[in-house]
Amino acid sequence: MTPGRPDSPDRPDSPETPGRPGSPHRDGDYHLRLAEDAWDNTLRHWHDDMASDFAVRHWAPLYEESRSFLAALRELADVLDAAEHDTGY
Amino acid sequence: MTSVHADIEALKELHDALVRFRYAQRDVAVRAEDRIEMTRASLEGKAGRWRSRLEQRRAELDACRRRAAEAAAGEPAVDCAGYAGAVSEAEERLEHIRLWQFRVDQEASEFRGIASRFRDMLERDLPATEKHLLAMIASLEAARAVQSPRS
Repeated sequence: MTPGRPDSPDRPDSPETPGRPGSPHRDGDYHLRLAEDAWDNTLRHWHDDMASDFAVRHWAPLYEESRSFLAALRELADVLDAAEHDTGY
Repeated sequence: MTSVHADIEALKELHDALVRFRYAQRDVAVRAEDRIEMTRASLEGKAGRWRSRLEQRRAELDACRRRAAEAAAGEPAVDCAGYAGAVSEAEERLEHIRLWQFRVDQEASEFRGIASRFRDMLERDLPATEKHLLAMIASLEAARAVQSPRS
């Protein structure tokens, strides 16, 4: 088992119980990191022009769109938590 | 895995990871929408309970004021301050919940715009990326005369 890999128990952001969903934004972050790990691994073995083209045309938009979505989801989750907490009389 | 074909194996792993990513994030987006609806339903439930309490407390305050008005001269004054306070509390809490309902609707609306673009990416762009990866893998395998398990 490689340290820092998604299946490693020392990975802090992995779901506490495999197969059991946590909060949506944490699961979303976790799955983005899995994809990021796969991309990093690919880059270690793929160095031609197609790799650069794929990075610009496919990976970067996917990564940025995902980060934007997950950031919005985290903000939304904070608001929803606050709404529940603040009206819990 | 031989080093000669490590790039092909890595591309296959990336393809599989992106397929898993697509399904997982689709589920995340659905659960986010569920979470919004749960919170909206919860706030509506709380608003309903406080509307009901407000109605009841207003009736109690009205009854108290009627007793105060009907009290004969010389009798001890009827104090309705407690009932009035209870009405104010219910009004304030109801208004507070309404403000949260407004805020949640606003935030949900903003989020849905971003989520819609993300879902479009998951449903349209990402499958195209996966297809592109498969084509590249096939091309590399053909060029190196590698027997592909996918073909």
